[in-house]
Amino acid sequence: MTFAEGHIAAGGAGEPGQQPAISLRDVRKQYGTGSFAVDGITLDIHRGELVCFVGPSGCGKTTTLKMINRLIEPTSGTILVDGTNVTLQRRVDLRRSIGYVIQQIGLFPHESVRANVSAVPRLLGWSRHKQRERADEMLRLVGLDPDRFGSRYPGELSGGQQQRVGVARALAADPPVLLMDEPFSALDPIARGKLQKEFIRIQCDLHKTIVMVTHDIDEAILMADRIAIFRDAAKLEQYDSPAAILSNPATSFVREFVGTERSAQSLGRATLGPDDLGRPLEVVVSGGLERASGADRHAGEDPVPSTVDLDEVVMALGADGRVVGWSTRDHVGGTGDLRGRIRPLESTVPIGSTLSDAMSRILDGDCPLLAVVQPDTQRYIGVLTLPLLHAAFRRSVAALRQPGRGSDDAVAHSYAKDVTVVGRQ
Amino acid sequence: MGGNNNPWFSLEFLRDPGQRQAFIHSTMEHIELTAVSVALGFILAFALALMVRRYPRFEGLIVGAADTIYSVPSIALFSLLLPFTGLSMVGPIIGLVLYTQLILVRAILDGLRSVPASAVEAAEGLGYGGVRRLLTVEMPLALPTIFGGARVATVSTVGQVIAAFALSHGGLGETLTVGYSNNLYKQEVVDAVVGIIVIALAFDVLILVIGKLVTRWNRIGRGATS
Repeated sequence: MTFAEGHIAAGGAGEPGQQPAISLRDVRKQYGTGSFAVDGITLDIHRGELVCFVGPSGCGKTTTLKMINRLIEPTSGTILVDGTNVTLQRRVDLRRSIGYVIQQIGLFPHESVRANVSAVPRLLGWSRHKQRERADEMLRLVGLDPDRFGSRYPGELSGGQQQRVGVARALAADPPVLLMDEPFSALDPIARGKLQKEFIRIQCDLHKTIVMVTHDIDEAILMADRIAIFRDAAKLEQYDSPAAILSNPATSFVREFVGTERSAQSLGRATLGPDDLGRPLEVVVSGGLERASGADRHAGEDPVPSTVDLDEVVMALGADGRVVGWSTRDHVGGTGDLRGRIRPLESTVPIGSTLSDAMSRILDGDCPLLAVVQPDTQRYIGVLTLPLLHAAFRRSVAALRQPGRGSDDAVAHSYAKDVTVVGRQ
Repeated sequence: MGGNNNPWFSLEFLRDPGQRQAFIHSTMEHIELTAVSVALGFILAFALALMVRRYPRFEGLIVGAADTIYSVPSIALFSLLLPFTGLSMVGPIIGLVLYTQLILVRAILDGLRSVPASAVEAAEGLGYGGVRRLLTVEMPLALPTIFGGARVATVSTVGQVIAAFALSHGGLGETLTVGYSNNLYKQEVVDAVVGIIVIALAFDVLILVIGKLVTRWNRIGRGATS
């Protein structure tokens, strides 16, 4: 599964029949008889999804996070992790099965880096050999040479290196779920930017279900598949993909909260480049296959899907290089007349448009695809989907966060790689 | 030294086998009383500190009691214990253990409080149970402070042992008082004092070295964040 496809699952309703990885049902937390810190939150987090809880301080986002691994006990409501009610499990067993990363890092200063990383495997009673092997593997994953850093004490490491160890420690027992409480906000901006990007790379490989609390909407936009915006007492203002939240804020609170950040503005400034596009299989059709006929013949057969797998998409191009329509491999497979098997593609956007224009084209149309064309000749260049747009958008946010080094950084590479994979196979 | 019958410092009287036996016996008793009392005192203090952690309202009571006991002069305390314990070793040990509490309970409490909250939260979040967290995270991190307290408590106990002569178990305090009552026999008095100082220093260095060895991590700077 690629990163981009992760977005499809995240943006849609999730795969039908598959239970969410984490499910909160009307969860409340009341301290004493006073007011509610969390007043009835209901929300699902899908498998492999990275969800950010964002909101002003005191909005209940951290309380909600800590109720998932029962560092805070809910007053009422149900929390399911993997379909199991968390309150029915022993606390220590629950926590050993959930990775946990905190802002203050919290490494054990009296243990070596290697011993820190193997903390949970040690609790789970793994053999020493396996613990060590796993610790070294995790250190390599977070970009620390185990031979160089393994036997050092945390006090000998920089803040950024320490939080790498913190992430390695959280991942060591391979938990399916990871909770992160402002994991990068105590780091200096350079270390933070680097770690955020590397974490995205790690998540691309591991596909953990991650809940991350942050007060930084830019960070959420950069990292999240979906963002939950909280207001007082964990009232959920909006829960959607970053691009949807930016382009279509549900309430004035969201608009205000998001609008002040630079990334919101970057959507209007950043433009669409050739690297942002997907390039599915192309077929050239010729002779008499007009858009209108395709549209007529196709109408009423299948509903247009809301998401597509670019591996399955086939683009139909005319001899002049313009888009005729699109279909999927199952539809155009075999032999015979292609007529009637091609869906029309009305919405196109010229390359070089702003991301926000492209976004509104996608959201306005009823097609999950947008053809990107040359502005003058209308010749086809590639396609754009919401996930690809997210990727392009994040790249621009990443570039924004590190002026002058954005274009060739690690994230850009990893996105570009994913885009190619999606487009060419 | 031979010309002077009663020099300030000499090991002359130790040539006599009986005297030597007595001096060695006193020294060993001194060391034993100190070691046993501090060890038992540590166990008691640990239990009290854990109780205070669990029930914070007892802190005033426990520290206050330890404070009050500490303010009772040692000879008076030992004399008070005499009717209950007779002349056995139990008497001095009870007294010495009580004296250590003021320093040790505070040191253990301070030590546990000095543990970074982030390490405790991380341990909890990773799935450490209460006892395991205490023994493998909090206690090790509290050790630098606890060892500091242990040094003070031990050196102070070496001094307190002297007063246990009131219960006929004063270690070198015995030698000291015998020498003193024996017409101010300077040699014996000063040898006892030197012996006490040497014991105190030896304990101090021993605990210091052990402390450094078990808290090696503490010598390198703690990181900027944590």
